[in-house]
Amino acid sequence: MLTKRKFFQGMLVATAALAVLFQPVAYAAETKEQAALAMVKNIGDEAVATLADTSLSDEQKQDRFEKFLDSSFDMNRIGRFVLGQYWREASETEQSEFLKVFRDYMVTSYADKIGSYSGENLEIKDATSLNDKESLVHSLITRPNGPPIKLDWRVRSTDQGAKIVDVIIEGISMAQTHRSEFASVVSQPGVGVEGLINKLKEQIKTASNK
Amino acid sequence: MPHFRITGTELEKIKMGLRSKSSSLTAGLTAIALLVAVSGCASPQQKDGKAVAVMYDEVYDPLEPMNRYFFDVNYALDALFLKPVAEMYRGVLPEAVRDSVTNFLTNLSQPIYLINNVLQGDLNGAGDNMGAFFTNTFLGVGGLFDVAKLNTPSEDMGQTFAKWGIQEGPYLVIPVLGPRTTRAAVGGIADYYLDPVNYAAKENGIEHAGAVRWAVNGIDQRSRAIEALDEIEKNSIDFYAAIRSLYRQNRNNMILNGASNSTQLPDMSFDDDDNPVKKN
Repeated sequence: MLTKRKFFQGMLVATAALAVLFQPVAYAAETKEQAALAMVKNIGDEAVATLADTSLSDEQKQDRFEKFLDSSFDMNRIGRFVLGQYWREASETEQSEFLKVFRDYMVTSYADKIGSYSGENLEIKDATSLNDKESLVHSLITRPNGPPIKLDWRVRSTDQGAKIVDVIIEGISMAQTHRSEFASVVSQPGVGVEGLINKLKEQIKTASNK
Repeated sequence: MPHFRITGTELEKIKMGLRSKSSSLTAGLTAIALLVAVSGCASPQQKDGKAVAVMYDEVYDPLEPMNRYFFDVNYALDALFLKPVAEMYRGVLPEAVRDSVTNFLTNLSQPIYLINNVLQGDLNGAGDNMGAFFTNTFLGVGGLFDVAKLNTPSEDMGQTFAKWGIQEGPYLVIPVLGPRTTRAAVGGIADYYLDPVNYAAKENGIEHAGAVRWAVNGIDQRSRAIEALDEIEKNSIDFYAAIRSLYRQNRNNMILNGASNSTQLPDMSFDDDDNPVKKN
């Protein structure tokens, strides 16, 4: 009798322990992709609505785009990634200045694409897990003329919630392209991280003067 | 290397079918031998740390000074000839006509796509090439219309070599032709000698067919990339490096036929994270 009761008690404790142990894991794994999917869906809808809104001027749209970039992208991580091995070689002031300049560079390079919107739509498909922190949200840009374009969003769980860390267009990673380009600039003799920052500043200046 | 027996028999078949093509055969085999030699000695040494090795692969470009020179030459040639012609082509011909040109060129490429799909062991892909070719040739007025709508991705020997495990070799910028990996450049030569369309044109006495096809293909593709290339040039601080990265990533994507690229994505975690996860 006693052993039987002990057995049941043991079962109960074990089940409770199992439930406590495994539930949060399963729950977290489920929400990581779902959170990423919901986030991309949310900003995708908003971005398309903003672009298609004819009552807004290009400047207003640009303003919204800038806010959207700051709130939805993990710009510091992207910035650090695109500097690659040179991040460690840079001084602390160079690092923080690079992050600031890189963010402005992203804003200016993508801002003038706003005016060229012509009825494209974003169709969010699904999300797959990349690793314990990241997932890939798959989407399609459908166009009135021309075949659809495959667009993947790399989303990472951070302390501030899900953030985009890379955009992959038809298999081409934007972060990787920038990293490759920047590495080529930094490694040129006499350029270094400081030279890269100056080049980016120049680029921002010429782009915003137009 | 068991894979190379496939090439041997494949080339043998073509030899039997087309008789006396031994000079082109020798050229093709020399090209493949050259590629194996080059890719063998070109694989970069592993540096310590995976991230550094990945980074090193990404910017690996031992012929950079020469490549940059030819990149500038090609840029000038493009600005003088190809871009204006492509703009004119796009401005003068209506979209429907240009679409038919693209369809016709794609249809002409189906036989070489098929050969490459077979060599890569992708029989489904080869079946699609066969279906698209016959459907579009007969129902699509000689390939002017894409009736089959099979959306066959382009296949070439460069991709086939990659599937066989041959390294990509140094990055090259070839005068007039543009960016290539060594593997893709040698693959292009092999494709020329393997393409049944080239032999059919020769047998039927159509002169300069290869050159015309190449030129029209160039204009067609350039006319579809005018804005995209302008944009990349305007927003890059090193146009050469940006194109090199885009070209390589696109090639890798073609080799995988657009299959999940998640395995290829670089690591974006840092060992010393700004906000490290505290372990209790």
